[in-house]
Amino acid sequence: MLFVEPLFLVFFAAIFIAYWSLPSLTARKTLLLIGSYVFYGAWDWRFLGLIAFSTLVDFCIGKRIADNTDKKKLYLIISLVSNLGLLGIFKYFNFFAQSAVDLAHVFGATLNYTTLNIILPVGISFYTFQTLSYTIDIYRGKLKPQKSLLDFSLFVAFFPQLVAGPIVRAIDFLPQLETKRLWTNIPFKACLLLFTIGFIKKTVISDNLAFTIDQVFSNPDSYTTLSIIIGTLLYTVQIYCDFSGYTDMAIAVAGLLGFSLMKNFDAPYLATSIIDFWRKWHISLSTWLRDYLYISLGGNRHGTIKRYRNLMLTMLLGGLWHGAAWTFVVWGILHGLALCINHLWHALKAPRLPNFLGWAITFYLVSMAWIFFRAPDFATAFTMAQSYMMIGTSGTQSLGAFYAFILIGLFATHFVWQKANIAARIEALSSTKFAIILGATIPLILLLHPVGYRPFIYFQF
Amino acid sequence: MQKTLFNVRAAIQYCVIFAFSACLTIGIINVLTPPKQIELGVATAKLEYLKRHAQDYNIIFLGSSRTHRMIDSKAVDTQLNDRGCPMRTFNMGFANLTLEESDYLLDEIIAIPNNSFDMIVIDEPLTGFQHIDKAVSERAQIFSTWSGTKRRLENIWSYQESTLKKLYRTGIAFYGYGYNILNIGTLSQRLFPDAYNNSRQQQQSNIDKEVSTFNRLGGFKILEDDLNENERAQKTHETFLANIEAFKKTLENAKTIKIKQDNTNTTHAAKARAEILNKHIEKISQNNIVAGFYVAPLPNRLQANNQLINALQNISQSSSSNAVWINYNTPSKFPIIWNAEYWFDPYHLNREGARLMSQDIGRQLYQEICPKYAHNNAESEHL
Repeated sequence: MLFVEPLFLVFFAAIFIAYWSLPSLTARKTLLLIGSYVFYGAWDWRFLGLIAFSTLVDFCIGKRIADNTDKKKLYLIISLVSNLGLLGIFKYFNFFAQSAVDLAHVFGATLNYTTLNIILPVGISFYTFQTLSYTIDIYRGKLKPQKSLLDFSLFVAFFPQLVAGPIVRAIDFLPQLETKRLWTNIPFKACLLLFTIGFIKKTVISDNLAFTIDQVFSNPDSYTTLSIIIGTLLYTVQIYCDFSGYTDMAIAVAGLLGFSLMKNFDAPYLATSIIDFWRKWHISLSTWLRDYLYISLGGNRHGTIKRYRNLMLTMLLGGLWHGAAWTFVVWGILHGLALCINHLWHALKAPRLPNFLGWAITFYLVSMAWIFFRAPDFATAFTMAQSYMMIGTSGTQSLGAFYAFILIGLFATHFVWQKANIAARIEALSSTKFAIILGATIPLILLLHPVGYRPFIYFQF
Repeated sequence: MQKTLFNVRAAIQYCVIFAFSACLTIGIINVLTPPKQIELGVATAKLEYLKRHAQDYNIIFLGSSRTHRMIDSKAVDTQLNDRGCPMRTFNMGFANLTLEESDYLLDEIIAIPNNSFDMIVIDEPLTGFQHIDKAVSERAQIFSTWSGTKRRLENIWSYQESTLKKLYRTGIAFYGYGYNILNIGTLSQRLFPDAYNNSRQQQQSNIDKEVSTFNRLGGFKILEDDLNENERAQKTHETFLANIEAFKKTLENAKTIKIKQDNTNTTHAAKARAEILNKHIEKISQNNIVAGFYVAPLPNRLQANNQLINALQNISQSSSSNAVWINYNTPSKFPIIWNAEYWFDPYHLNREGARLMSQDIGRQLYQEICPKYAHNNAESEHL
């Protein structure tokens, strides 16, 4: 059930009407929990057991950590092992087993293993991080354990952000479940606008570009250097529109139910440095990695070398979090290196680059790194990366000027949209004008909706 | 409370404004959008082929996959030809043929000039709209027009199945209308034609492959030949094989069911359906072509099909049209095919089953149509 499918709109309309019709807070939360499980079960009902297990384990462990201060480390380890163990089995077992076989082969040994036919449960990486943040926050004394299993279950399974974030912190979300949300407090215009923008990003931009991008990445050798550069930039646009489109819709859907989710993107492609980029891209993950991994590793508290080591480790694991493949690890390493250089630049008190130059370098590096993120293997990634560095390929197939114009148009729109704060201007319109514009816009969007539905890219993570 | 009431009223007001604005835009888009061309994939290819070879064929079978996959034209022809009846059969079967498509194809076939058609055999069309994908397919969109609504609803509501299913199919059909009116994806196809053209090319290559067999197989397509390329056929077949014992029982039960042939067994739905189908039979007869009605062996629709035949025969007796009944709905009529080894899935015979049934159809048609053929030939020779 994708946000852009009619089935979701029917599902959400039913939940929305029932939710606001129910008088009691508990009934509303129960409805949302049932709805969330239905939403998740629509993908594969078998994984409901997994999410319920994860919920129960962390709910119990959270209490134990708070009640047993002398054994709290032990309980935290149990939480980490059970959560990361599940993630490891479902997401990384085959990857590590195959890597071990390949490594042994390099040294002349032969290892045999049986590949497990494991289906990756949708959203496991996201809700695992959420439940982990809960137990770690209790361990750190920042949060008291949740008394209500209903509230905690809803925190883990809340359907708008369950499958691809934003990664919600218990400290932010659980207090919202304590008071009854009020219909009169819903920012309807903001939510509807955000959902529409997310819908446009996903269906009109990301899905329409998907086929062309797939073609380039599946056979880069046959394309000209310019076409590969355009293809890479198209993917840079696609991944942003796909993921931030999902997030926009998730925030809007949660907002219509009276809940506030954290902002996950803040015009990341306008960032003027790689540090700035990570403050604007997938904010809920970058802050999670900072708070629970980087700081746990020692952060910048133990000298310069360890700081860079921690930074590299955080980004490497962040890369691996995205997918069980070495290409993701390389993506993480590239970002880690760029961050280290950026921090070193600051540490050496080197002169600040002009904004435009900083933006150009950052954007070039980010889009280059996306090649490793998207490529199915290293051979493809290296071919594309070479072309992106203008070293060239021998291909003759061309993407044509149309896609170059699309890129220019999209970047210009993005720039103007952010700088002129157009979203705020539309929100400021009277409700009548807003309804007229929305009514006229939706049929036009649907004209550009490609046939069929593509899952969100981040669902695979 | 007053504030809430005010908000609800305001919300309704904005919804009305929104709807008005949306309808206006949709209206403008529809005025500017050219009408859709009728393109029915293999069916269109078959029609074009038939137009080019109208002189070569005498018997046309028009129906769903139960025709397409079960009427072995060559097996029918061999039986006719071996008995001195030089006729050729063409299979115009098309998977999931709906009533609207059947109307269109029948009109087109009858209108083919200088044809040598002696007989057109029709099968009961299906309702389509099993799920949302079917309603929004390019094929379904062709007939998703307000002018075609009555026919579409007639098709759904006269088909003998539960009211719940009819309601479900109606909902899906109207979803299809909405999809069509909104012209979803029209501009996307024009601006980003690569994805669309790619899927079209794949479809076209499958169609071209089938067209190349028309002369040899007369429009018939063996299901087993699809196993490597048609994922759906493969899955259906695998499921069928996994549940073969249950199907064997169904066939055994079918053989022992006493099918009532009296009029009291005819339901209201069957009568409504028969009225619709009789119009097709009449249309064929009015063009001096012998009409036939073919009922495929279907163990899970044994009673429903039989009620339909009763109703059709009753109407036919009181009207001027005389149809030839090719009914394999009665297990006792041709018992050999009521054996699981001749089935591909619960709805279709396999290659051998289709061959056996088609041979029998050939023998039956020889008796039904060849005397008339011989008589007509003698008359023209006399004149």
